Amino acid sequence: MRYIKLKQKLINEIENLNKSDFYLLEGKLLFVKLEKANLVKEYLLQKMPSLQIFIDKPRNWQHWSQKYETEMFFNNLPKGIEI
Amino acid sequence: MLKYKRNLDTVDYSQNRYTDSKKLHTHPYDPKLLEVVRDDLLKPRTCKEFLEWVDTHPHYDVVSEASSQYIRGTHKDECFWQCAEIHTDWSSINNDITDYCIKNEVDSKFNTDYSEEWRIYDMKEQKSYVPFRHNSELDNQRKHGFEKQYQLIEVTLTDVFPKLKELEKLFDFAWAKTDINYQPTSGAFPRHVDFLSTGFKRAVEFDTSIANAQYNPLTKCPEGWVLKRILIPTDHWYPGQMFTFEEHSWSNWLPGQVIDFSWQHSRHATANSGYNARPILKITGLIKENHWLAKGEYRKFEL
Repeated sequence: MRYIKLKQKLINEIENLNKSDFYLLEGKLLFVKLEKANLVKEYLLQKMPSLQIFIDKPRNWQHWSQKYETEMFFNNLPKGIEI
Repeated sequence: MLKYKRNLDTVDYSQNRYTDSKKLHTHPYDPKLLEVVRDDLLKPRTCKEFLEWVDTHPHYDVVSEASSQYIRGTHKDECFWQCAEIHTDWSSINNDITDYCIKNEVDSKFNTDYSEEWRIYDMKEQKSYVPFRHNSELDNQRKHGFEKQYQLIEVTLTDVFPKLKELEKLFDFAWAKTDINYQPTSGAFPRHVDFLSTGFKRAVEFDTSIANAQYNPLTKCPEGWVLKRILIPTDHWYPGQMFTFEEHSWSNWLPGQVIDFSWQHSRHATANSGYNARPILKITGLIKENHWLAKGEYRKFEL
């Protein structure tokens, strides 16, 4: 449930994933590049094969400072996913 | 050190007003900007320093949004859960609340406007039942049309509702603060997360050890303490009354159900599209880790 710990864990454990590759917005993870989203998806499915992961194209708003290629959200997250 | 005290006469809050119509307050927030604000939020501060930082921050609504770490797909039980039940004469309590609202025109004088009050003072010193909002939060809400939200009716600091004050004591909170969150028909309060400022400020103002305790920005509590807010409907749920916690909904509630929830991270919102007012008792306070609520235990009470 906790974004900060989850992000730290993903950055630490996935090579080529950096702090500026994805952000949190209203519960969804927004990725600047699709390839980075795929790295995260692959990692999470390896750890939790039954996790439902949804990937979609996000709406990019004019007032945002950069564009995002991918949004990711989940269903039935197991408790303590960030740990 | 001096004890924390909100002093409206000496602090210039004019910078808190919404003036920038570009980017910062436009929804959905810029995700990159939220991360910058979140990084700032994570800096070490005492509780006193944290409250001052929030109080004088020009963009409370962005701070609040950034403070949520909720990830969609989190189980309902981690957003809200029933932690207790209270068996008492709820009909009589509801009649008292209704009479009070008729007498004080709480339903008809219903406009959530700017207020200088933190509601930490005695009721006789308060000017209205309007809940305090940080200026930039209220600017943001009113800009989006949320002009009627809910009314707050003071319990702890008055003697109007003695039974409810007894009920507050059941939970053994330090710095307990109880209000009736009374949402007349047509009220809507937009999704948000809390800092529990009204209760928390009272503790920081009067207790130097809490003022000087380190603030934990992940739990949004003073180190060594757990800030709690529980919700207790005094009336039955009526169709049209809405209470959501992120993608999960709470409905069909019964008087006396006690709901605990992740006020820190789970965005919650209410609306009353029914034809009956919606009173919910809101008790806020501090507990230690060995408190039954902190341990996730369930209790039944008779009053």
